[in-house]
Amino acid sequence: MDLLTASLVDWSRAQFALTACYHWLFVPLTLGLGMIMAVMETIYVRTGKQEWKNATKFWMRLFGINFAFGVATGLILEFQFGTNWSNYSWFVGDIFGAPLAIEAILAFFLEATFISLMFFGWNKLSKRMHLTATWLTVLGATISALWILVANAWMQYPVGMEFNPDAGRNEMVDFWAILGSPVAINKFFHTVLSGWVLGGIFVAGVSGWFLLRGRHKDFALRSMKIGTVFGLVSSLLIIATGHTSAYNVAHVQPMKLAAMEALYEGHRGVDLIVVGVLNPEKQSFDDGVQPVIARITLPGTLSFLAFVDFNAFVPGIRDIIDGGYEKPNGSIALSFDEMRERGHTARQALADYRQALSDGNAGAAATYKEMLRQNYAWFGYGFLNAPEDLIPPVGLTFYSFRIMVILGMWFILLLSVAGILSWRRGGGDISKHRWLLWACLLNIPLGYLAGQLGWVVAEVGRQPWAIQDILPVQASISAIPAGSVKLTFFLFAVLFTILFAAEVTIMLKQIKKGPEPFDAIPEKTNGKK
Amino acid sequence: MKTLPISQICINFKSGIPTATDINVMAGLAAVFRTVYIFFREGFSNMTVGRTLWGVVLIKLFIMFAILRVFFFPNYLNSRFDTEEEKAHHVINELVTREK
Repeated sequence: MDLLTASLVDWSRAQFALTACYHWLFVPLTLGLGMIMAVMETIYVRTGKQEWKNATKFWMRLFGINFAFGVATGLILEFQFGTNWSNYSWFVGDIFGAPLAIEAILAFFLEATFISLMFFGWNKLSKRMHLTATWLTVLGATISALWILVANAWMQYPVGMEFNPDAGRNEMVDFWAILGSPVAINKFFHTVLSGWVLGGIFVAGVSGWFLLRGRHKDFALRSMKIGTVFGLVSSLLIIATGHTSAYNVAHVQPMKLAAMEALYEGHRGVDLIVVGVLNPEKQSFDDGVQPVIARITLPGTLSFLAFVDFNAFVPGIRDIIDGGYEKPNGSIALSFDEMRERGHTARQALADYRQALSDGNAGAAATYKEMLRQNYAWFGYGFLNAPEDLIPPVGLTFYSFRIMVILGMWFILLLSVAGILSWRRGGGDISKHRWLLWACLLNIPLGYLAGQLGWVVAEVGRQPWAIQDILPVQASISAIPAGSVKLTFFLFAVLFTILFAAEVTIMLKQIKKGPEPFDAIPEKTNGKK
Repeated sequence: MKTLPISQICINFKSGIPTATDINVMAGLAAVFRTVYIFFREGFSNMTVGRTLWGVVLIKLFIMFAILRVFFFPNYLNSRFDTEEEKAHHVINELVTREK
């Protein structure tokens, strides 16, 4: 057990985070750009205008590049599950495995089939058949994301399972509870919408570059119109899912919400910090030091976001550790010490159950099994030593959340202005505002940043848990040398950097080429115009 | 041409000698496969940037499965234990004894 150092836990987490961040460079653009090219092709099929076909083909080419570089990057995460996170992998059993298996099958059969038809089918399939293939490609990618997000949501809010003490793993007892969990549903819409926002930002930015260069102006203006409207509508919708995210977090992960707001002492009518600076002198949750030294707030708004009541009580970090407050379900919150005690009881009951079985004492085994069942909800607390173990990194969570929200507001402002100017007077207005075109172009990396920060909030904010309340990260990892994890971390860092550089190079080359001229080959129409 | 479901074709073949209908069906299927083959052959041969992308995908898959998976990411439990019972025993032991 001497291998289980903090270094091993940290390097395993860092490696997983690096891979997940890299994977998330590709997924959102696949989702967002896919939708936009499908919308453009739909306009082409409905209007018959070749300009829309050219625009569709241009964005489809960039979609293909992004797809090719992103494909299978998620598999590296599964490698890590098997090597670095073997306890976790075994413990989650078929709950995590089932959605991932469905995702793999769907990804292969739906995406792989229709993506071929989409790319090879121009001039071979009828317009409507090709459009169907395009939409099914987008649908396949979106459904793939659904299953991954369902698996992730289960880690944030484990439902629909029972722990089998004989197998040492959780077993699915209610598939629909897992699929229909409010956290899963909200996470799916919030995450997919974030991809759509990035798609809109990407299209607006690249279109802005063409307008700045004065090239392919008609194409760029068409794309700018679609990109800005699509991005703006998605940005507005994401506010609604952001609200429901906060509502869910307040109900199932109150510590994450407290960390997001650096809220140490809970009270009624809690303000939402719009902009704030954390106090570096705050060292402990109970040192009495003011956690935020400068702030701009919205009165009562955190209470409203969390409980749809401007005067609702929101527990702070200290309240969650001390317990004693009324939870949303009406029960009284346990203190950290009480939860840890129950966690110890659950772990001991598991050990005693196994011992009773090996002794052939069925009566004692049944008693311990029942004791484990009654205390299983706090199983993970049995691995924690001190209240501080329960607190996620407040600074990273707090600032990531602020920057993500501020970026979201900036996107709405930018896309609104760019959208209005591109739609007004035939789009002549937007070309006059070069600063705006530059803003759209430089906004592309910010779109990526916002998505990455969203995941930082979701994942860092729920530490120390691999599975909320049931399994902390230090109990999830394999007893392997930290050095090997460190080695593969740098191996991935190099590999990912090379692949990303290659993607950017190929993408920029294709963008510079611009949309290709009209097809010489007539479209297959199946007798219809 | 009349097309039969696959199950029907199999039933016909069970009788031993293919009938004229079977041969027509087989010819129809062959035509479908040929169309699909030509569709993909032309698609792949007409690729431009797609060739580079396929190269990237294949190199990436090679690195992932032939190098990373084999040399750096063995499955921890599979490489140490033979049976499901042994794996379960190991993980339960970890859950019971592991300290921070």
